[in-house]
Amino acid sequence: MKHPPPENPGDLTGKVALVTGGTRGIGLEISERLAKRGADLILVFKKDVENAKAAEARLAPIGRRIQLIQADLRKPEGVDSVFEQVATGLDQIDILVLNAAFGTMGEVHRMGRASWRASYDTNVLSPMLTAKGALPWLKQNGGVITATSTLGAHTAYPTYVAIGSSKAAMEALVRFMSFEWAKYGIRANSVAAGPVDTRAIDWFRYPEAVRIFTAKKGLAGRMGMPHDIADIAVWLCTDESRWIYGQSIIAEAGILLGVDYEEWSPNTGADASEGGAA
Amino acid sequence: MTDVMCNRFEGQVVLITGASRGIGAAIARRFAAEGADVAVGYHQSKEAAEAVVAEVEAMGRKAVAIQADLTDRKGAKTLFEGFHAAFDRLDVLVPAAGHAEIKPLEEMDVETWQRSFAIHLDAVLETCKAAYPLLQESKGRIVMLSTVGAHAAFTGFAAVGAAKAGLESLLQYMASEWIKNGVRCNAVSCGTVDTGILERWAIGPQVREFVQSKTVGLGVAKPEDVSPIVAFLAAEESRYIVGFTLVADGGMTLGIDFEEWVHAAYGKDAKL
Repeated sequence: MKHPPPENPGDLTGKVALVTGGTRGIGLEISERLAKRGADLILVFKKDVENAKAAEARLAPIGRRIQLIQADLRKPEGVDSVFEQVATGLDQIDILVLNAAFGTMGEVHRMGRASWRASYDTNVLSPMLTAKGALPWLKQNGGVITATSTLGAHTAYPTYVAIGSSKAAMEALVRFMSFEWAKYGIRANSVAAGPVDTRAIDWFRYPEAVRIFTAKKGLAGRMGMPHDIADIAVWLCTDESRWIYGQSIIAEAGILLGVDYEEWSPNTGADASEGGAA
Repeated sequence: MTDVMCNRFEGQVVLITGASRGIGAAIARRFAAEGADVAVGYHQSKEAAEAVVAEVEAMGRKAVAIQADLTDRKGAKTLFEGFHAAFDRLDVLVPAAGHAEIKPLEEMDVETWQRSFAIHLDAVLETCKAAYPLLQESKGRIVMLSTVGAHAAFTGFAAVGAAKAGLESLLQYMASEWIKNGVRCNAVSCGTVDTGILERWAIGPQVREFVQSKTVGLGVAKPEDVSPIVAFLAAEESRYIVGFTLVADGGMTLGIDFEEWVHAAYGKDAKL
């Protein structure tokens, strides 16, 4: 287990992965990569049955078993129903991907109690309940937990406090799970993604501004795509990362890595004249 | 056949300093196993370096051993003269050369302190600078090696810890300045690794006992636990990670386990 044969690193044949929010966006890219490495899938989704069926159809040609489960993971009874269906379905979980996310956009001074609670219920309470529910299976063969987080847990963007702060709490939860469950051979880590072009970008009040900013600042001259993050998340699910415990990998293509004074030169025009305010 | 990670470096050339032994040697083997040609930088261990070269050649890849003292001002120049004699491209640089002298601060002398900064910081800067023109051409990657001793204090480890903290800062600057030309830099920050160094330290047995028994993690790593992480940070899969230091310590620094103190206070049968 600790030292797999080097001829087949990263292989997940025989494993079962439960992915929350696994039927769209980053979650679907993760599901596809896990299946291509040989894992069977349990995909949990909340509402959109049609989309879930479409995801299943897209993944089916890879040839792995797929169990679709509809549930609201913010409610204890929703979580219970997931694991009842796991028990009567694939009855195995080696990899848990905590990917389902939700957030209300808005500044602190505009934040309402219900919006705040909704973000924390999806991003903190639900991962805790889900991981706890999966624990009996994860314990059996030394499982792995990978959570998708956000750069907003480490820095600040406009209107992002409910998501950023709740994901920071989730990363702390992941660290504690790793700490408490290391004795079972369970590893837990997060990927904190910079802005990625999913439908969540449209939650921003000015999504086009986010797109332009990240394309201009980032390494690739383009916005992050779900596959950029999925590749990292899946690597964290393999034995290749066996020595990584309780960490959060920040993946943002250098968007916020440094301040480049060149673009603030007083001689370069309009940008610079208003640059001091930014 | 599943989609596995086994030939991500086909056709690429990797230069690893400190590659004759320990973590550096494991990294050389891993890259070669994934299809890369390998330049094995070493300082003193000629035979060990040649053994790594032989292993890489046995995998059907090209390899050369290059001697250089990177603590010398001309070390990086020597290294790259040797490199250019054998290869005309460079895709990945892993400046892994290092050593660790244990000394409590009250006994710290300037020579020990400077030796540590010379190899862990100055030499890395010079090696990376010398590699930068080649790395720009290949849109290459640099993966540095750090230690969790840069983030937490392990008694006697100050010279290494402080130098590696400097290295992690250097990484951020280098990553930020060089990403504009397509060169991607990251680091792996390791816990305790079984490289033979524990046998050379007077406090080695205590270090091993502490890491194995007193932390919640997996214990002392093998070099082969670290090399896949270096390979990942050099591979296309990690394209979105820039300027990041990835801690890989098997859980050694995750948190504080009270179990021992619960037993001390309430007896062996007490449970948390």
